[in-house]
Amino acid sequence: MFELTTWMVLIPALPLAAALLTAALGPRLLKNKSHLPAVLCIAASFVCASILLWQVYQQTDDDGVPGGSSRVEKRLDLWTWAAVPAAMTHSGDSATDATTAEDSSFDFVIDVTLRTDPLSAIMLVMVTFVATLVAVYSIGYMNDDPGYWRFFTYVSLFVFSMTMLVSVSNFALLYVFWEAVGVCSYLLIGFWYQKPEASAAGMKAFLVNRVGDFGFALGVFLIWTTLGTLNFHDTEVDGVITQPGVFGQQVLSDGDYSSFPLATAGVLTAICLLLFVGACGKSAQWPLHVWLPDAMEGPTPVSALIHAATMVTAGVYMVARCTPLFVASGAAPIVVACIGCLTAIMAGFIAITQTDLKRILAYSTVSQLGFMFLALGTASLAGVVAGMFHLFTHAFFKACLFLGAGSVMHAMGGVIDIRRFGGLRKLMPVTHATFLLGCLALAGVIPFAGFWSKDAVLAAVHDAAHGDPSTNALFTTLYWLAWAAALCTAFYTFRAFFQTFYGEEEIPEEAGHHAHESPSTMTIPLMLLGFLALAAGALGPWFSNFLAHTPSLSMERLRGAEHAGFHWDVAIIGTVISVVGIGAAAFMYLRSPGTVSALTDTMKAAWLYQLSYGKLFFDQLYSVFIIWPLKILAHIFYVLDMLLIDGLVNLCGWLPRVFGAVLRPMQIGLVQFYALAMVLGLLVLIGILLR
Amino acid sequence: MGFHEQIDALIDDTQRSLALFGPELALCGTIILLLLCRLVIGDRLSSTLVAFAGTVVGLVAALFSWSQVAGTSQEAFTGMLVIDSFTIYFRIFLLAFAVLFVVFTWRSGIPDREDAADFYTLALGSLLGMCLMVAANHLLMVFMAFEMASVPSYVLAGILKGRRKSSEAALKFAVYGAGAAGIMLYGISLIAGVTGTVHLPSIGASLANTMAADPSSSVLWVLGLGGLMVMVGLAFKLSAVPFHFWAPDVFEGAAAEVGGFLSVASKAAAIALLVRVAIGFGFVQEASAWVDAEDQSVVQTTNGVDQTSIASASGETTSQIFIAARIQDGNSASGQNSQDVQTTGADHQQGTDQQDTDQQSGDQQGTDQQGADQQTELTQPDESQLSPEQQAAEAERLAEEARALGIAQRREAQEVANESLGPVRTYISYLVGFLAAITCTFGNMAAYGQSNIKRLLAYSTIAHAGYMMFAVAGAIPSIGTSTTLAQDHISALAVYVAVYLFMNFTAFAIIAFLRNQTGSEEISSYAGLIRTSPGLAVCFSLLLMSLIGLPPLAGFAAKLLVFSALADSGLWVLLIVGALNTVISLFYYLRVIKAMCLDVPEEGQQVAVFPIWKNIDGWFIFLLTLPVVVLGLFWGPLREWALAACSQLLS
Amino acid sequence: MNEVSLLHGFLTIGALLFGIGLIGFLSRRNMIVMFLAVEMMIQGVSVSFVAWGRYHNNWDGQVMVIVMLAVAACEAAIAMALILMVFERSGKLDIAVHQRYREDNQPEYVDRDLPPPEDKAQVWPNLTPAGVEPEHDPEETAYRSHV
Repeated sequence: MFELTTWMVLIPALPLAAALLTAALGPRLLKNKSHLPAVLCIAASFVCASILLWQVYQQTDDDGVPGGSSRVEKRLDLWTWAAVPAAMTHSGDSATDATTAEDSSFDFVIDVTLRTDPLSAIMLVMVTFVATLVAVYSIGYMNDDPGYWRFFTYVSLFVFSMTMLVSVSNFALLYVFWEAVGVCSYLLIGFWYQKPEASAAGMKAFLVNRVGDFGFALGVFLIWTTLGTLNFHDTEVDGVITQPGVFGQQVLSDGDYSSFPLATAGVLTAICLLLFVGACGKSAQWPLHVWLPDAMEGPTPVSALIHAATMVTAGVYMVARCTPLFVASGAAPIVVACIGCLTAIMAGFIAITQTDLKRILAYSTVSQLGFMFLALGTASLAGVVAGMFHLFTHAFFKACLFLGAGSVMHAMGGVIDIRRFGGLRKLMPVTHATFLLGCLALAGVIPFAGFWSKDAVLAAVHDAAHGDPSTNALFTTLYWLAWAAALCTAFYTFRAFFQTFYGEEEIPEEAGHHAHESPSTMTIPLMLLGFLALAAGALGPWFSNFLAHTPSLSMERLRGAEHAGFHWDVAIIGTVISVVGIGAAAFMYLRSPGTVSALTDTMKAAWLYQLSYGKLFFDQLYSVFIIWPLKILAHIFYVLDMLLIDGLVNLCGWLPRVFGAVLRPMQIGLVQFYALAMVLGLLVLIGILLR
Repeated sequence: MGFHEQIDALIDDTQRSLALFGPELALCGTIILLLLCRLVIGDRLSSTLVAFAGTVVGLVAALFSWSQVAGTSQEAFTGMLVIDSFTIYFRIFLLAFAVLFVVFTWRSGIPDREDAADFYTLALGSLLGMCLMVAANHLLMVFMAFEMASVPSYVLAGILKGRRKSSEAALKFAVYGAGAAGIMLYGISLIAGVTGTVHLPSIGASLANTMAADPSSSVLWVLGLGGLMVMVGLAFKLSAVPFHFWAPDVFEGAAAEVGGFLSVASKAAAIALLVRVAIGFGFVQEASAWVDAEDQSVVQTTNGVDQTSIASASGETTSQIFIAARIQDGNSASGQNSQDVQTTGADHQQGTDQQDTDQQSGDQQGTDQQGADQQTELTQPDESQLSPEQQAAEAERLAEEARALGIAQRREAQEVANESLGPVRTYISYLVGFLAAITCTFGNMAAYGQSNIKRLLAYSTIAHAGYMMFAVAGAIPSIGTSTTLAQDHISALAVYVAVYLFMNFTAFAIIAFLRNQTGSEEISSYAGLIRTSPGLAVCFSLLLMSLIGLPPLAGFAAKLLVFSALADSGLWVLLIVGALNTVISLFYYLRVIKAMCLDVPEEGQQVAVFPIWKNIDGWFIFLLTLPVVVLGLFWGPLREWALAACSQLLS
Repeated sequence: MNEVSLLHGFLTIGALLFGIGLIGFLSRRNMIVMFLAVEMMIQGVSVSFVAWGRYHNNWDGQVMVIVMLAVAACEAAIAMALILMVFERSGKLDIAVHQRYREDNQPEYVDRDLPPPEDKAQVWPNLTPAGVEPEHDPEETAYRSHV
C-alpha cells in the first residue's frame, strides 16, 4: 500500500480528482467553498510527494560522493496506450512482407508509464509545495470572484498536468501534458476574459507557444523516426531489452547513441535544437519570451504558480531530462548556453526601467530562466545540478515575490504601477518583510537561497570556461555577461522594492480607505516562502548529491571536468556585485531620488533608456518583421483571394459545397432515381472491371 | 450410406450445432415469447421486460460461448454457419447492442404500450438475422441472413404508425432493399454456378483452381461480375456510395431509435459479412482441426491436367468433407465435364463404402481406410468407366499418397493455392477500397449544410462505413500471404465497430431524448444547451469529437488502427483520402458543438433541460459516453480482445 | 442437346427475366408493379439457379430456389403492407408522390403528371347470389347497398 508506486499515482490523481469534483459541483454546490477540494487535494498531493521524495532518498546509498554510482529510478507501467506494430514485425510470417515493409518503420508503442527518480521527485515536491501555498493564498486573493470555482478547477487541472509532465516516461505523453499545462496557462491568463488585455494576452501566449510547441512536436517526431521509440526507458521482455529507450540503460552505459543506427550527431543536434525551440516557447527564452510579461494579466497567484515557479520551468526540466541527448549532440548545449545567457542579460536590462511591479518580476523570471539554461548549456553534471538547484530555489523566492506583489496589488485595489504607490512598509509589514527576503534571495545576497544557486550556476560556467579549449573563450564571455545580468538583477530588484515599500507613503485612490495588510490565508504562504527564500540554500550540497543519483545524469561523459568545489572567487564577485547593485538602487531611490529623474532625463536622450523602457522593442520588432510581413502577405493573398474568389483560402469549405452542389441534387427523394443510381453505379463498376 | 445413417448423422449434427446456437435460440425464444405473451397474457406483462430479459439471456449465452468455443472454429448446421471467435465477438457485440437498445427504447418510449411487442419482435428478428450474417458460411445463408436482417428493418423504419413521413421512409427502404437484394441474388447465382459451390470456404479453393489453370479465363469475368453484384447487396446494407441513397431519407424519416439501430447493428453485421465473403473468395482455408485429426486429403489428378484440389476431411468435431474439385470450362476440348462434387456430409461415425448415384460419372466411392471417421468422395471424369473394384483400389492408392504427402505438403498446396488467389484479393481490395474512398468522401462532403441532425448523422454514418471499409480493404491483400497481418487489420475493424457502437448509438440516444423534450431534430434547436443541460452538452460534444477521431477519445484509437492497417498494406492513396476526410469531417461535427455551446437560442425557442445526474436517461447517456473516454485511454484490452476474435479467421 | 447448351439456354432465359425485371423496376412508377418487377428479377435468378443445379448435378440450386421463394414472399408481403399503408394516406400508388425526404432546397422532381382521375361514379361488382337468397335484414341493406 505504501509503496513508492502508490504515491506516484496519487500525486497526479488527487489534483485531477479535485479538478473533476470542482468542475462538477463547483457552480451549484460548492460555490464559495470551491477551494476546498483543490486545497485539500493539492496539499495531500504535496504530502505524497514529500513521502515519495523521502523514499527515493532512502534508496540512494549515501556514499558522500556527488553523483554516486547508484542509480535510483522507479517505473510504474500503468498501461499501454497505443501499440500499433509496424508491418515489419509480421515479417516472420512470410517472406513477402519483409520486402514490402519499409526499413525505417518502427512499432508505434506508447506506454503510459510513470517514473520517479531524484530529478522528478524534486520537481514533484517543488510543484506541489508551491501549488499548495498558492492555492491557500488564492482563497484570500480570489475571494468574491464570480469565477471562483472555475479558478480552482483550472489550478487543480494545472497541478495534475504539471505533475504528470514531470512524471511521465515518454515523449508523446510529455508532449500531451506539455500542451495541457499550456492550455491551463492559457485559460488562467485569460481568466478574466471580459477584460480585453487579458484575452489578448492569453491569445499571445497561445500563439507564441504554438511556435515553440511546433518545434517540440517536430523534435518528438524526429526522435521517433530516428530512435524508433518515444519511451525514456528500455522496453524489456523477460529481462531482455527489446527496444532501448531514449534514456535507457543502454544509452547510459554507452554514453551516446551509437546503438541507434540512424542517430548521427547531426540528427541528434537537430532533435535537441527542435526540443529546445519548445523549451524556449514554454520557458520564455529569447526570441519567444514576449508572451510571459503579458501573461501577467492573469490573476497574481497564477503568475506566481504557473508563470514563475512551475510551468515556465518545464522547459528547463525537459532540457535537464534530455541531458543525454544534448550531451551526445555536442553542438546543441552551446546554443542553449548562448540563448540562456543572452536572455538573462536582455531581460535583466529590460527589467531595469519597467514600472509595473509584476512585469518587473516577469522579466526577472525570464532572466533567471536564462541563468538556468546557461547552466544546463555547460553540459556538465555540475551545470545540470546547478541549473536544477537554481530552478528549485527560484521557485520559492520568485513565488514569494509574486505573492508579495499580489498582496500589494490586493491592498492597492488592483494598481500595480510602482510609481503610484510607495512607503508601504508600515502599512503592510508582513508583505514588506517577506518581499525583502525574496528580493535579497533574488539579488543573490549571502546567505540567501539565490546566492547559493546563482553561485553554483556561475561556478559551473566558470568550470566550463576552464574546460574544453575549443569553447573556453565562448564560456568566458558568457561568464562575464552573466555577471552583468546578475548586476542588473540586484539593481532592478531593489529598485522595485524601494519604490514600493520606502519613500513617502503614497496610496492610489483605487485602494480607497481599506488599504491594509492582507488576510492570513495570504500572509502565511508568504511567510513560509520567505523562510524558504532565506533557508533553501542550505539544501545545496544535499541537493546536488541527491540529484546526481538520477540515472540520466549519471553518464560518464557528464562527469567530464572535476567539480572544483566552492569557488571563492565566484562567491566574492557575486557578493560584490549584489552589494553594488543594491547600493546603486539604494542610492538612487532612497538617498537622492532626484538623481533618478536627472539620470533618466539625461539617459532619455540617450537611446539606452528608451531601449530598456521599450523592452528592447521586441514587440515592435516582431510586428515589423513578422506580423507586418505576414499582414502584407495576407493582403497579397487577400487580393489573390479576391481574384480567385474563395479559391485558395476557403478551399476547405468550398470543396464540400461544390461537391455537395454536384451531389445533392442526386438526393432528390425519388426512389426511381435511387434505383437508377444503384444500377448505374453497378454499371460503372462493371465498366471498371472490364477495362 | 443409407438413408437412416444419413438421418442419424443429420440429427447428430443438428444437436451439436444447436449447442453452439444458444444466443440465437435465446433471441428466437424471446420473439416467440413476446408474441405469445401478448396473445395469452395481454398487457399485464410488459413486452419491454420480456425483450430485456431475452436479450440479457442471449448476451449471457454469447459471453458464455466465448469461453466455451474459443480455440476452435466450428461449422454448424451442415456447414451453413461457422462459429468461431469472430462470430462470437460480433454476436456479443450485437446482443450487447440489443440490451442497450431495449433499455434505450424503454426510456425513450418509442414503442408505446400497444406497439412494444411488435417493435421488439421486429428488432430482435432483425438482430437474429444480423447474428446469422456474421456467422454466414454459405451463400444461401448470406442471402437468407441478409433478408432476415433487412425485412424487419423495413417495417421498423415505418414503425411510427401515425406519421406518413415514416411510412414513406419505410417504403423507400423496402423498394430499394428489394432491388438490391435481387441484384445480389443474381450475383450469388453467378458465383454459385461458375464455382460450382455455395459453401464459402470452398469457393476460394475452387477459384484458386480456376486461377491456377488459366489466370485469364473468361470465367473469371463472370465471377468478377458476380462479385460486383454481391457487393451491391453488401454496399446497400453498408450504405456505401452509390448505394447509399436510401440512408439519409430513411434516417430522417424513421425514429432516431431506428436510426441508431440501422446505423450501428446493421452496419456492423454487414461489415462482418463483407469480411466473411472477402475471405471466402480470397482465401483457401486449411482447417486447423484438419491437421490434428487423422484425416486424409486426396490429391487428385484428372485428365492429365495437373491440379491440386484441396480435400479436407475435418476432424472429430466437424465431420464434413469437401472435395472442391476444379471446375472445367464446359467447352473444353473433350466436351467432358469434370464434375464438381461437393458433399456437405454429416457425421460419419462408421466408415462405410458409399455409393452415390451420380448421374454423370457413375459411381463414386469413398473408401474407409481405418475404420475411423472418414469418408472420401472422389470425383471422376465421365469417361473413366472403371469398375467399382478398380475405383476402390484407385481411391485407396490416392489416399495412401495423400498420407505420404503429409501435412507440410498440404500446407504447401494451400500456400500455392493462396498465392494463385493474389489477383482475386487485389481485385476485392481495390473494389472495396474504391467504394470506401468515395463513400467516405461523399458522406463527409454531403454532411455539410445539413440542418437536420438525423440527416447529418446519416451522412456521418455513411462516412464511417467508408472508414470501416478502409480496414477491410487494408486487410484483404494480406489474407493468405500473412495471416497475422490480416488478422491484425481485421481486428482494427473489430475495434472500430465496437467503438462505433458507443459513439453513434449514444449520439442517436441523445437525439431521441432531446426530441422527446423539444419535439425538434433540427441542429438549431440545440442552441444554448450548454446552459440548460451542461452535462448532456459535454457528453454530446465528447461523442462528436470522438466521431471526428480526436485524441484521446476512442474514435481516435479506432481510426489510428484502421489507418495504420492501410499504411501497413501500402494503400497510401486510401490513407491520404482517409486523413483528408477526417479533416473535412471536423467542420460539420464542430458545427453541432458550436450550436450547443456558443449559439444563443432564439426568442421563445424551447431549450431542452436534461440533467445528466438526476434520472435514468441521464445516467444512461453518461454511462454510454464513459466508454468513449475510457476506451480512448485504455484501448489495449479491447484490441487484445479483437485480436483474439480474429485469431481464428484465417486458420 | 448436350448439357452445356441446355445450360446456356436456361441461363439466357434467366438473364432475360432478370433484365426485364430490372428494367421494369427502374421504369415503372406504380409501386405494386415495381414489386412485381422485383419478383420477376428473382424468378430470373431462380431459373439460373435451377439450371446451374442441374448442370452441377447437385441440389444446391433447388434449395436456393425454395428459400428464395419463401424470402421473396415475405418481402412482398411486407412491401404490400407498406404500400397499403401509404396508399391509405395518399390514395396514390405512384412512387413519385413520395419524395418528401430529400435534400433541403432541392426542387421537387416533377415528371409527367398522372392523367387526372376520371370522374365516373364508382361501380362495384355485385356478387351473384347463389342458391336460395337469404332473408335480408332491412337495416343492413340500408347501409350496405352491395356485396
